[in-house]
Amino acid sequence: MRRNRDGADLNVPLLEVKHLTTEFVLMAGVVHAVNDVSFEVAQGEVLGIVGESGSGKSVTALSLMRLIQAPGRIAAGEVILHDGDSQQDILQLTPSELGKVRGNKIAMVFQDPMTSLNPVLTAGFQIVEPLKIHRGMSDQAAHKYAAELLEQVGIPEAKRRLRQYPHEFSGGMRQRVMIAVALACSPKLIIADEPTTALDVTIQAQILDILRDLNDNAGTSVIIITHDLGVVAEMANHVAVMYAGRIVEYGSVDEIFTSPKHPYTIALMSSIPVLGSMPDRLTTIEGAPPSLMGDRPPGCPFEPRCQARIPRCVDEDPALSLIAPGHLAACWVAQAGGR
Amino acid sequence: MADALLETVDVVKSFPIRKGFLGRKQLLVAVDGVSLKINKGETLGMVGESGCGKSTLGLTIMRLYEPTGGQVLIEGQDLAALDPAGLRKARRQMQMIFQDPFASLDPRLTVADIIREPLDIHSIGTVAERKAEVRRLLRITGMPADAATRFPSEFSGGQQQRIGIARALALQPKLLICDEPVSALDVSVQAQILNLLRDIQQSFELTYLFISHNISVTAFMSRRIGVMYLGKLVEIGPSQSILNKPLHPYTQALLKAIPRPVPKRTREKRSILGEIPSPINPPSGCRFHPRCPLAEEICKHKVPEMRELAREHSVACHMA
Repeated sequence: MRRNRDGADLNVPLLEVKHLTTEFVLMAGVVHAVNDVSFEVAQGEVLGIVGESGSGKSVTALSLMRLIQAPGRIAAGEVILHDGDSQQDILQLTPSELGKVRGNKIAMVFQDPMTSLNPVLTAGFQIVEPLKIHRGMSDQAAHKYAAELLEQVGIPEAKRRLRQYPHEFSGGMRQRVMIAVALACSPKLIIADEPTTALDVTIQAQILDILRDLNDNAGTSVIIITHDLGVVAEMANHVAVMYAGRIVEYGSVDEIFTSPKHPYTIALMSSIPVLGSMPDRLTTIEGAPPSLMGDRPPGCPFEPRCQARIPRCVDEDPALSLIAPGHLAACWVAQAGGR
Repeated sequence: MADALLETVDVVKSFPIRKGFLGRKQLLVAVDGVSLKINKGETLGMVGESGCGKSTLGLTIMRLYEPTGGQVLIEGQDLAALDPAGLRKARRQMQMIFQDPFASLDPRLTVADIIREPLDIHSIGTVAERKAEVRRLLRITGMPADAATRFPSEFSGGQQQRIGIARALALQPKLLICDEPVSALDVSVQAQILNLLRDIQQSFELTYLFISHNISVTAFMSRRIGVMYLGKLVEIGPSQSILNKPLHPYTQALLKAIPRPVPKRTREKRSILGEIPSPINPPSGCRFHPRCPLAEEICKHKVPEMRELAREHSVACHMA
């Protein structure tokens, strides 16, 4: 039985991602940005996806919403959205069906609110728009509700602020507007892609509070994508660690942080300085992630940089498999019971 | 502290700005009366959020900005008193590493040209000696020897930062000002660069001013940490006491706001409210008072002075 931090049931599935594969077809070759990625998000769950640049975490997020543009394409997979007893594969929806999901059942919060809000439309317009489209609200009712949303995300003088343009807001305030737009239709799932990366820590704390409240009070599921292990540790129930376009480890936040099993996760955890326990040297991961262009070499993608590698890792690619209850790792060594 | 390598006395840097076409002139005081000392071989970390003036402070110490007021002393010598030739000579003693490694390397020069340029400018050594020095610097910074003939764009962010470090070391400076040197890097690469910076500090007895918004990274690098808020240095002290016994309410809030990589919701909610006010029209008195949970009447009117409350640990707060 999966439970969240407060012990609430996390067994009603909301989103099931199966074998998602996204690639970019370039002149120089095909970049396999996301490779056979599968995971689940339950109702009320916060899933953290961590990884370094180029690990495929953002492309995964964009794929879920079918926001991949040419030369990128989703080559395979299913993204099943559950809604009561019915379910639909987002990847198979017609454009008009897709329009009913985006911003309505699933909403997205991006890293840079300046480039993802429309600079020539007022904040109010951008919050009101989905309310009118998806909820059929009148202009007056939508504006009233928009002001409530702005207050909910901590923007004072909401009525006046609705008439302002994105450039008139500070970075933190813009991110609040983004979240208000995302919240407008009470989505079941919010996908937040590095939502606080561009913000100062005190503002980051305030934005994380809003997402936390939303999850606690409204039961909104959240996929939070970040490179910051601190943010994941604080927010998530479950964590997926991505490397070279694949999930290499998955488990509850406690498992992942207290007993990580994949050598990449282990190295990542020990490469960050942590307040309160300062070593003389930080652990580094030598080398660089592999190129995702062209055919993949046969072995484990982390093998060239791995401290724990065994001969098998060179020729055979480990699949993501169960190594303990609720804990998966794509590693031959971890699957054989660790070092 | 007789062996201070760098000392700043009431350094002020302000920028005149004009809002709109005919708007009246206003003054943005980016750095407002910062006094600090850094001893030889020591690292002083400087933390604060965007707009607090920490980068401007670094650039002003480098004299890349002309200070509006105050003094910058390197080994007791006032840089402002020097003529241009003297300043150029003194500048050799300090170098800077920037946040965006690619933007700070000339894309049309080879790596060897970039690293050699400071030697050329200051006419140090013969051509052969300069070439040998470039090879040595590449080795020290962990770059392959064949990097010399390649261009910056051929390297990853971490390697570009190594090139920037090699260039900074070329003139054998005494002081390195590191302005967010790892903020643009992934964490595994960040660890490599931080280790490198610590290694070269030991080998070359370098003194660092390490500027970063990341307190964990700064604590790893620094013996002492200073905290800036809206142009003011609000607290400075040994890293351990800043982290364990922060005296300024802002430092306390800043530390509470950091999400820790520990899977418990340890961070208090609502630890700090509001946003950083505009530096163009900063709050009166203590600049933190509108956001401060402890603020009283005096905080609105009187600017708090720095007071040493524990060994080496000073704070500018009426309530501390």
